[in-house]
Amino acid sequence: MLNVRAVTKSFFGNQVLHGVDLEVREGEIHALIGENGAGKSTLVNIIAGIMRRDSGSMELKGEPVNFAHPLEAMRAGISMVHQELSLVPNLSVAENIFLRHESKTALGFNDWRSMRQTAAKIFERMGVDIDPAVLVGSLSVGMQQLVEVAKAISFDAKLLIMDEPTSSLSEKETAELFAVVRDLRAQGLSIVFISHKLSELFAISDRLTVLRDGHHIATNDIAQITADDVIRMMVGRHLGDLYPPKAAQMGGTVFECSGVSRFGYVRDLSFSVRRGEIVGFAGLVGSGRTEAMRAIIKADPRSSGSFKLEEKAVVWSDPGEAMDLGVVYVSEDRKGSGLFLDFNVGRNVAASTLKRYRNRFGLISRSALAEKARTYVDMMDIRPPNIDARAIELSGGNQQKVLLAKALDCRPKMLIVDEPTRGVDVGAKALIHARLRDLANSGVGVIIVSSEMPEVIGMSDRILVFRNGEIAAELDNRLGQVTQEMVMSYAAYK
Amino acid sequence: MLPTNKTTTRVTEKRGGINTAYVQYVGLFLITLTVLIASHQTFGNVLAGANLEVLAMNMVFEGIMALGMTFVIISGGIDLSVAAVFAFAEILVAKLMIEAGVPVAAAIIITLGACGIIGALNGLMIVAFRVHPIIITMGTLLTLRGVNLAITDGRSISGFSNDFLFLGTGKILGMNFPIVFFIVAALVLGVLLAHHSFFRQVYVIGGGERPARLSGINVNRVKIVIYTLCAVLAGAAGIMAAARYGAAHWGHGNLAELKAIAAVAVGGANINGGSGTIGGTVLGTVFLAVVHNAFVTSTVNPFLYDVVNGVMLLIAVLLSRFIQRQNEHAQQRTRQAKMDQLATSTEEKSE
Repeated sequence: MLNVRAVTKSFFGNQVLHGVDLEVREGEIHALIGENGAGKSTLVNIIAGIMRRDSGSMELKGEPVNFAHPLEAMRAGISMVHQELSLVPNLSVAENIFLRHESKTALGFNDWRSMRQTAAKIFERMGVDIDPAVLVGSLSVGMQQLVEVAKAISFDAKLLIMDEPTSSLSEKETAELFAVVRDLRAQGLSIVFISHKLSELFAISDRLTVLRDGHHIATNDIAQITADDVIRMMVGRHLGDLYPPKAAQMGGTVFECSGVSRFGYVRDLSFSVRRGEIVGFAGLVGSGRTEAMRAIIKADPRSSGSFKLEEKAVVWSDPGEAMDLGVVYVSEDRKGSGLFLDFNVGRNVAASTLKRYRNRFGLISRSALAEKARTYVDMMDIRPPNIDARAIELSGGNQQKVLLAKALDCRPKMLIVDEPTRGVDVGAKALIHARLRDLANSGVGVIIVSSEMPEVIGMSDRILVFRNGEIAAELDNRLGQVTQEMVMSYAAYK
Repeated sequence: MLPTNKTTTRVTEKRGGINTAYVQYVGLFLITLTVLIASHQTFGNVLAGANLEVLAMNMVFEGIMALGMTFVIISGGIDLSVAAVFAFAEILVAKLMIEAGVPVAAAIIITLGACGIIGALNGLMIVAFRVHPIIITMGTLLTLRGVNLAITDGRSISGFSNDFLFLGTGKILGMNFPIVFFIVAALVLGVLLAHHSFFRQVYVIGGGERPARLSGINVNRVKIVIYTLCAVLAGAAGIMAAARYGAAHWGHGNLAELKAIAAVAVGGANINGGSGTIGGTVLGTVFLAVVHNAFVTSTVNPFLYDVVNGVMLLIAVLLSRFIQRQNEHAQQRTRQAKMDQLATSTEEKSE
């Protein structure tokens, strides 16, 4: 019923879809799976009219379609249930469902009674019992997800796209949602279902399409493949010798973290890092890795946790104090909470360490600062090699280098880097990797948090797999024998 | 869509606790009533007709501005320029009638149109530059105040016809015209905001622009319309004020924007957008008017009036923040419960 052919899409010169095909049949549940950044969300956003494709074609029931606007897609019978809920908490369930296609009287006033009645009919059809008059904000997340489904099918949807609808649901709520989805299939709807949870996909879907790096890899009947096949198709890349060698030798424990909890995000996290060791934190987006790191340095509140740095118990009450002690965190969000975009390279590099550049009058010495900035520009190969260039003018890769230089200038004993090479080109990536290994070799403990599995495996001497706010597995990788399949088998809910 | 025959329903959700907004309205209403009765008992004559008129006229222009401000605040914005628009309307309508000799009706229509254009410009700049409304409307406030001063040389304009003065001092059913205007405008706008599909979009935008866009709402168009509406109401208040005072002066309505915002906030609207009602704003306006009147009739130092206004505003804001915190905590508890549940189910499987 839906036939997508050779769709391409680029963002700012970065191609995320390379001619992807997708064929969805009438009355089937079609699973879409792939690693983070494989292009799943982009593809479905194009189908639902939220983004425009660069090229390729799309046919709905044999008719070519090209949606300029989500509302057009909805009217044509394609509705999407978003990963982040698109509901308005202060409005009633019925009003949310009929947003932009309200039942109206002649003067444009909302006909509340008719909307509530139709909403009740939709809920009846879904087999759920939600009062259409209550405010959405008073419902549980699971219930809100069902309202979102009701909203999607209220447009008389023929095709329902669900982007990770279960990521915030409990097992019970997931089971309820699945019952609803199966009912809708029985009524002839087609459903495209995105999830990271393999067990779910096998439980609910009829066919499955794997995307990788913006390419269509395979489409299979669910009965004909196994979870291992799917994992292999999802990752299926060769690492090559892109990464620096593993630790030659490691010293004693430099950093020890015990019992870190953050209510709702991280539970009882304990681990230690040795001098010269790079520890990788792998896991799916939303598994709580970044939240754990931010709780450790106290960028976010934590309910418990104690730390030892070089065998001595240490405490801090904010990231600045942690930094002064030598525990430095590099944010995953370089533009938002990493760099001062309007400052030049020199001022960014010294942003955390200004005190050190005071002259004898207590004022900042421009010459000392400039000299230091120039050494970093050389060391990190920052281009253009101009310490007066503003951070906003640099490319993503060079911004990331400046960010790392800023952390290095704090002289860390324990460096935590979160997504150190996200959206960075291959050259900058290799340089950042080499500098991180150099740093470890100089006796510093390094933690790399990354959603990119080849990076975690290629860089780390030891890998901690995060899942559901805690460590699901610890894998020794000194000989580089850990595979993506191994990591994935712990990261995903099998 | 055919309902299927289901003998059992799988999921049931019961109606959640008490609606916090209603608690706030009832509380505000009772407090207002208490202040009114207490001041009447203490000082007498508060509930007399003459005093009630004074009480109402004291806040009516801010109240009219607050009606428009309600739309703006629900959408997640703010309009600081209303008081400048108010004074501009006074001056423009006066100049048109007295200096240009334009008939009353035409002068009013031209003035309202000019105010509408100012509001539309506010809205246009906000959506085009993607700058916070506080900056854009502050720019309008300062610019327009300068214009008001310059075109009047700081002097007031007077000498209106009796027809025009009716708009400020005339009575319908024994009530002053501005009060009748406020009541009618509140009723009409209240119904529109509560039930009209176009204005319901304001809540969606205030709840979040991303969901609004995903739902197919033309966010820019709605914003321009509500800033226009807000400025037209401020202009209408200005025209009536000129008639009330018998003169137009650039200093009239100075800082009225803060009272209008306070009335909306005290009336229970979330200053971050997404919630609020015309009914709440009316209650907030009446509350501020009653408290002000209690001070005027009492022998208490009237300078303390602003202290009470300020404290009430702070309490209203703290209350809404408290409710927000409760919601956040509830969400975190849900997350934690889910983590616990997932962790237990994984352990069971591995055993």
